[in-house]
Amino acid sequence: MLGFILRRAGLVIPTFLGITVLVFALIHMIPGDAVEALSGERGMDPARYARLVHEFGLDRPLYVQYLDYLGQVLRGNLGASISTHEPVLSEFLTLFPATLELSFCAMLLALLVGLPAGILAAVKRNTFLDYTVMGVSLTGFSMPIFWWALLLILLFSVTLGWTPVSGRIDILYDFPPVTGFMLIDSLLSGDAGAFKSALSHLILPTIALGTIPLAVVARMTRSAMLEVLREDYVRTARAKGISRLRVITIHALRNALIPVVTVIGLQVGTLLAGAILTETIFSWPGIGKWLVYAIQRRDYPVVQGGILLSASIIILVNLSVDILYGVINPRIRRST
Amino acid sequence: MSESTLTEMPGSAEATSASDAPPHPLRELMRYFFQNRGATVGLAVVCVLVLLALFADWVAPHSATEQFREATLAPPVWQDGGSSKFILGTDPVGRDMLSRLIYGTRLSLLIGFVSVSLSLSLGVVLGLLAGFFRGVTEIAIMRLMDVMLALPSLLLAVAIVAILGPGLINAMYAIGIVMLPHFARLTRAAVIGEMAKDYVNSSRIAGAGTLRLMFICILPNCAAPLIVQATLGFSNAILDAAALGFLGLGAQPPTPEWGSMLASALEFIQSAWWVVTFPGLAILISVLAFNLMGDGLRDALDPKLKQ
Amino acid sequence: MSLLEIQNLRVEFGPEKSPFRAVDNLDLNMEQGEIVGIVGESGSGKSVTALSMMGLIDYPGRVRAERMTFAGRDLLGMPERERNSMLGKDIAMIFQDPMTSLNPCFTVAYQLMETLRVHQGGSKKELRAQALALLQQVEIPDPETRLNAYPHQLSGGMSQRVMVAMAIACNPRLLIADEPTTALDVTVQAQMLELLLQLQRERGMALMLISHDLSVIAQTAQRVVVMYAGQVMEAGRVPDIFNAPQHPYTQALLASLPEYNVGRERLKTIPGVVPGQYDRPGGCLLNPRCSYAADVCRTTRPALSTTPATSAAQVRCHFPLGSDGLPTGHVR
Repeated sequence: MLGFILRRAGLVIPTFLGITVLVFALIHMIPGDAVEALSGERGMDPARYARLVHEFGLDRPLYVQYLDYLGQVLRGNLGASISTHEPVLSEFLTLFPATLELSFCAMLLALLVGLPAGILAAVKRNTFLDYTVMGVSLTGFSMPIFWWALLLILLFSVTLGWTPVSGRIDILYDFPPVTGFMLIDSLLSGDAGAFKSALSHLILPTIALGTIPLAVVARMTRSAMLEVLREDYVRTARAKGISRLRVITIHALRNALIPVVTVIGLQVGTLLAGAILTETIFSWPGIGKWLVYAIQRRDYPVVQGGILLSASIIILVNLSVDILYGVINPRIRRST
Repeated sequence: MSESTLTEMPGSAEATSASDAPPHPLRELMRYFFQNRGATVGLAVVCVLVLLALFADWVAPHSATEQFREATLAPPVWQDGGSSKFILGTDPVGRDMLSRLIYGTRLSLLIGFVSVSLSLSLGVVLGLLAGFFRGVTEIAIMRLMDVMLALPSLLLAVAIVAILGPGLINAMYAIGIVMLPHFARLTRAAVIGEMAKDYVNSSRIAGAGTLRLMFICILPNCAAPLIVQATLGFSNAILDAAALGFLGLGAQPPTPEWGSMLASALEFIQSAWWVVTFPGLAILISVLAFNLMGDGLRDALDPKLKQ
Repeated sequence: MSLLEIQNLRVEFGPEKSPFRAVDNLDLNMEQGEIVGIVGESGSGKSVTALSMMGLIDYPGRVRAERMTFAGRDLLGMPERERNSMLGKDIAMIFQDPMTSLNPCFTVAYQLMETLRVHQGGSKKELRAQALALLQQVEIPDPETRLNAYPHQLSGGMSQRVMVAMAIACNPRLLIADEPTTALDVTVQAQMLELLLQLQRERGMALMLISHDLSVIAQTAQRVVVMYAGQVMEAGRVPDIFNAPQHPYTQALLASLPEYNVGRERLKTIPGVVPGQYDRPGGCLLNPRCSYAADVCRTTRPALSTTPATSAAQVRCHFPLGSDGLPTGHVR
C-alpha cells in the first residue's frame, strides 16, 4: 500500500512542474512587461527602462527566468499583491478556509442527496421516481449557477426573508478567528446566535455551489449502480439469502462507488470554478472572489499565485482520490 | 458447445436476409436517437434556437439596442402595467427584453460554434499527432493536456481572458483553449484503438501515406465520440461564455449577451424580476437542449447500449 | 411429499399479450438426497428454471406455476423475508462463471462469513473457524492464506471451490449447480464434479445439476430432464434414457457425443440452433431440426406423456422412438 501511494505521489511532480510552466508562460503572454506596467501611461525614458529591465532580471534568457521563478515558488515566495502589498501566499492562506468551508458543505450536500438519489433511481429503474431524479439532475447539470444563485436569493432572501443575502456572518458578532472556519469559530465563541448566523449565511451559497456536483454524482451513481446490479456477484449475494437492502448498500454500492469516487474527485475542480461565481454573488470572502477582484484590477502576482495555488490543491485532491480509489478497489492496489 | 453447428438452416437463413437487410447506419442511428424522447425535444429546441439566431432580424420585434426611454423596466405583458409592445418587458434603459434575448441566441450559438470549431480542429490535430507518432510527441502533448485539465475550466478561461483582455472574441478563444484537452484526449484514445486494427495495416501496406492514413483512414472511424463531445462542448461553451459575461470578462455592454445582461440587471433583482429571470432561463434552456441532444447522440452511437 | 415439487411452471418475459416463454409447462419433482440432471442446449431454459425457484427472476420477468413448493413451503407466494431465510440455508446455488460470481471488493473470508452470519450468527472468531473448515472441506490448498485473498487473486477452479464452500456453508437440503464446470479448465472439471458428488454423498443433500454436457449427467445423475426451448422433451431415469432414448432430440444429442462417434471422421451434429424469441415454430418446437418430423409435428404441439414402454419415463413427442431407435406409429 505504501509503495502504491509513493508511486502515485511521484506522478504528481511532473504535473506540478507543468502547472508552474503554464502559469509562468501565461504571465509572459501579457502584452508588455512588468516594467511597462509600472511606468503606467506616462512612459519612461529608454535608459531608465533598460536599467529597470535589468534590475528585474527580464533581460536574462527565459529558462533562467523560469528557474528563478520556480526557485521562488518552492521557497514559498509567490510575490506580493500590487494593490495590498501583502504576500500572495499569506493572503491566500487567510482566505482559503472560507472557500474550503463552502466547498466542503457543497460537496457534503452533493453526496448526501446525490448518492441516495442515484441509488434510488437505479433500483427503481424506469419508474416515475427514476425519470424525476434524472430530469432534475440533468437540469441541475445544465444550470448556470450564477443565475441559480440569484433565483435562490430572490426567493429565500428577498421574498421570504429567511436567509441573509451576503457575507459569512452578521457583523453583530465579532470573535477572533481560530481555525478560519466560521462554523467552528462561532461554536468556539460560545455564542449560539453566532453559530446560527454563520449557518444561515452558509445555506444559500452551499445550495448554489452544490447543485452541479449533486447532479453529476446522482447521474454517475445511477449509471454505475445499474451496471453493477447486473453483475453475477449481485445474483450470488441474493442467492445467499441476504436482504435486499444489504445487497444494494453493501454488495452493489461498494462496487458502484469505484467510478463514483473518481467523478467526485473531478468535481473538486468544478467546485473551485463554481466558487469564483458563487463567492462573487454572495460576497463570500474566499479565493474565488479574491481572484476575480485581482483580475479586474490587473493584480498579476495575485492572479499568478492564486492560479498556481488552486491548481496545486486540485492536484493534491486528485492524488488523494487516486489513493482512496486504491483503498476501495483491491484490484488496483496490488497490480499497478 | 458440442451440439451446435455451423450449418444454417437453408430456409430460415434466406427468409431473414430478404426481410431484414441491415438498415443504413445513419437511419439506424436516427431510429435510436428519436426513440429517446429527451433527445428529440433537445434537437427540436436546438433547431428553434438556430432559426431564431438566423432570422433574428425578422423575428425580433425591436432592435437589440434601441432604448425606449418612456418605458424603462416595463413588466411583461401579463403583469399589471405590461404592454403588448414589450412582451417580456424592458430592461433598465428601456430596451426590449425579448429582442435582446433573440439577438442573444445569435451570440451564444456563435460563441459555441467558434469555440467548439477551434478546439475541435486543434484538439483533433494534436490528438492525431499524439496517437500516430507516440513517443516524445505523445508525452509532450498529453502532459500539456493533463496540466490544462488539472485547472478547472472556468478558472483557466478566466486566467486566459485576464491576459488577453476582456471581450467577446477573447472569451471565445479562452473557451476554445479550455476545451482543447477533451478533444485531444478523445482523439488520441480513439486513434490508438483504431491503429491496432487490421484495416489500418492493410491500407498502410497498400501504400497509403501518413496524411492519408491519419485523415482518411483513421479519423472517420473516431468520429462518433468526437461528435458527442462537440455537442456537449456547445453547452459548456454557452455556459462558460455566460459566466464570463456575468463576471464582466466576456461580451461587453451593450452587446445583448445573456450573461452580461444578467450582470447589468443585478441591482434590479428586487424591483424587476423579469430582467434577471429571462436571460438565465434562456441560458438554462439552450444548455439543457444541447445536453439532452448530446446524451441522446451518445446513447445512439454507443453500440454497447444498442443490444 | 417430495423435497421439491414443481407443476406447470411458466416463466415469461416481454409483453403480456405476446410473451416470450423462457420456460413453459415444466414439471419437476426431486426427492431428498437425489441427483437430478437437467440437460439442454444454451437458451433451453435450464438456468431460468433454477433462478425462478430461487426467486431471482426480476421484474419484468413473470414466474407462474400451479404448484412450486420446497419441503411443503410455497416458493411463489412466500414473503421476501421468509425467502431470504431459506435461500443460502435450505437451498443454495452455484453459478457458471466463478470469476464473476464472487464480489471483487470483499475477501473470501468476508463473503463466506457473511453467509454464515446471516443464517446462524455467532462470534467473529467462530465464524472464521467455520469458514476455514469449509475451505478445507472443498479441498482448497493453503486455506488460511486464501481466507484473506480477494477473488481476483484466485484461479477459476479455486473461485468455484469458494462458491461451493459458500453454498454448503449452512448444510442446504438442495444444492443447485448451474453449469458448475463449464467455465473451468478441462483438467479441473473432473475434480470439481468429484468434489460435488462427494459433498452430496457426505451430506445427503439433493443436487440439481444443470449442464449442456450429456456425459457429465450420465456420470453423476440418477434422473435426467432433457429440455429444449423452455419445454421438457424427455424425463426419466438415466440408464433408461441413455440406453433407449424415446425422443428424437435426446437421440440426436446422444449421437453427437464423441463416444457414439468412434471411427467416424466427423461428429454428428444437429442442424440449426435453439429458436429464440422471434423464431419459435408452430407445432412441435423441434420440428425444423427433427429428421423424423411429419405434418402433424408442424401443426400440433405434442403433450408430455408417460409412454407405455417404460412407465417411469415421460416424453413429449407424437412418435416416441421404440427400442430399435425408430419412431413408432410414424406415417410419412
